Amino acid sequence: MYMMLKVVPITGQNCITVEDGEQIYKKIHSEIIKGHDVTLDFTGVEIFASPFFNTAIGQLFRDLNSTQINSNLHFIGLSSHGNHILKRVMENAQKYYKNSRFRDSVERVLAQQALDL
Amino acid sequence: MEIIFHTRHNAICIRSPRRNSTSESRFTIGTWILFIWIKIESHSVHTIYIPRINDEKSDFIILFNIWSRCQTLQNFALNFSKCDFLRQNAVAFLGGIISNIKSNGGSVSLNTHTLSSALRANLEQNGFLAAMGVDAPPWDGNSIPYREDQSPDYHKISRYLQEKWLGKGWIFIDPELAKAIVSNVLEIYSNVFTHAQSANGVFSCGQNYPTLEEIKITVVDFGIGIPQSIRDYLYNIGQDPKIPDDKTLQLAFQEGFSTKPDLGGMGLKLLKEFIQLNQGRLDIYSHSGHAIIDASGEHYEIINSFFRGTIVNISINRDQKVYILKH
Repeated sequence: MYMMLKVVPITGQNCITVEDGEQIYKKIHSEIIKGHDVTLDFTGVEIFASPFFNTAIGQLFRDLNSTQINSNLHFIGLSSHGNHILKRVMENAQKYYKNSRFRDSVERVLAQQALDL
Repeated sequence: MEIIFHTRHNAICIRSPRRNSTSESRFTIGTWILFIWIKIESHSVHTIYIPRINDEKSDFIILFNIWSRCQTLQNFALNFSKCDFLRQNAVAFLGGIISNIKSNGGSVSLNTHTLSSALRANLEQNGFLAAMGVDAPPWDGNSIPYREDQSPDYHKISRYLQEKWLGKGWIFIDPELAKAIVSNVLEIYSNVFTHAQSANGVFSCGQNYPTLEEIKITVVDFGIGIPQSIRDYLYNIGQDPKIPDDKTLQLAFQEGFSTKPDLGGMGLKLLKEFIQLNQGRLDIYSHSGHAIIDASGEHYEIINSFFRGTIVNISINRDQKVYILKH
């Protein structure tokens, strides 16, 4: 099975908000979890921000591993800046969901800073 | 109700008749004087003289002192007779203060007759005077208009940044790069609406400085501030929230750190990265913390002042030669 999803009709020219990200997430999550291929077409999207990608793509890492996501989810029509934010969000999400030590380390820094006072 | 002066007690009493008795409240003369003074003080109009305000650290401290003064009093008049110029940070900040005072039931009047012609032109052009109810329509110039956003309408904010900031032809910029910059600045607005709990939203203003080869934009909110947001988070996860203001700003820039219980923590990091790549400068003041991000790195300090909200001041370099986004 293959799904091609054009993003512009859903979000307009801006991919910024959590709400828009959630709409995309709901459409693609069930497909990828079934092992279907999904291509997101960002042609026509001009502005990107991390809240959108965190919600649309980042939270896929909650119950899918990076191999599944990378092999089943494809992106076309993404501007270089959009691609840059997406890459960073995916790296961050992977660390966040797959390596609990990443989050723990932030909390350890906090604890240490509190002790340093 | 009777008001009686007791010479023996040196006091004025209020006597209220009840069905079967009379209650009497007795206040000394001193207490009455204090009541009357408080009553007059809370209703009297306080004049605040606005000086020339640039965007150095000392200028932000002046703004925070004005904010601090406005916390205890209600009615103000702003006098500009000692001011010949206000930078974008002052315009956004004063707009926010005025909005906050009004929403708390206070009043603010602008003594527009004290404006010099140059300052009046500046405040007219950027739409500040019109936003304050003065009959002075804005006009097109070197300003990025003063703006108040009560809700996260990112499409409108995005248009504002694209059309009024980068789309004015002040810089010869690749359209792709312009969109990248807008995306980064939108991250600030997103942070405010997600974290700041700002009742009055966000206030923005910018300015093109042709001689400085810089374009500046300021975004300010009067919410709980980054330090409080982080301390609340620490408390909720069972950590000791006693952490200095400068350290909280440092944490806010740490990748992966978010005060929300889900994935996040990218906004400020992306903005920092962009500013450093483009040799611009980013200043953030929140509570007594001050973060400075520029090409030389990042620096965090405690300032001798306090502002409960958060103000972000961005300077980007107009020189196309250094204005490159690296992926």
